[in-house]
Amino acid sequence: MFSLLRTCGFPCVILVTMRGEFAEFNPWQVPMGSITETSLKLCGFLTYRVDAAEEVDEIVDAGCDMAFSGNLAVAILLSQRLIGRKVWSR
Amino acid sequence: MLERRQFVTRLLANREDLLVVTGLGSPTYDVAASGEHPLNFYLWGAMGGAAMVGLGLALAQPNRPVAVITGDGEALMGLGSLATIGVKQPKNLSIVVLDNGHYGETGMQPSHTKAGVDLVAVATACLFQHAALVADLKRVDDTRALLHSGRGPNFIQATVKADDLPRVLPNRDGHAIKDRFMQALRTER
Repeated sequence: MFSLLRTCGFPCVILVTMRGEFAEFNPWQVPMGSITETSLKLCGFLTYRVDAAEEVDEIVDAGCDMAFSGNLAVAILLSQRLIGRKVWSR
Repeated sequence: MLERRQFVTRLLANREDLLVVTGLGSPTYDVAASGEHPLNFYLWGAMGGAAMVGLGLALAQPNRPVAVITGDGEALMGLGSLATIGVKQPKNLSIVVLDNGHYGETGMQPSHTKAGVDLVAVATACLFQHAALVADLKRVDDTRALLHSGRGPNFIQATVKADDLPRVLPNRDGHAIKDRFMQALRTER
């Protein structure tokens, strides 16, 4: 589906809530989570990682500017550390 | 069973402000064969994405009818999109599946509809307002009226012959197709 972005020059912004990294409990999430950013770059995305909640607004705003003013593909990865450590036992 | 190009040509006759998205392969060639039009958005790839491209257009252009004309193989690859269309309920969107029961581009292997998978039942279960099988050219005028009715979302499974027709190839330059489409959207009306 990402081929559309390149062949037609569509602007695109995707927000990715990450798994498979910081304090990940479930190993099944790691194979894809650990290559998400690399894979998106290969698919032609500019990627930005956000690790702190207070940076989200500014980076999403900047990403939208880049995508929609330049017909670019931008992926913003909201890191697992930002989302917070999951509680696996109750 | 329908002759696919005859059906598509009749379906798109007097199309007025209809926006058309085509699924890759034969439906793209069928729509091109019915006559070039700047409001045709030809997909040459992105298999499984035609219905979602149509949904995006229908939501962005709520006052214009949008028809996605695609094949059974392409529709089967994006079945989940029918559920999303059901949730969004775009009144101006119609999905027309030209069902020949085969994957024509890759050597005519039988598709899931050939084995009896019922796309009309899927669309009905996904909350489409109207879902029907069309296998007779006598119903093409009613189907055409449905595309313009504003009472969608509509789903038409059109049973077509598994013919191997000469290819009619529209422009393959995605930027050019997009720019022409956007220009026509701005200037018509």
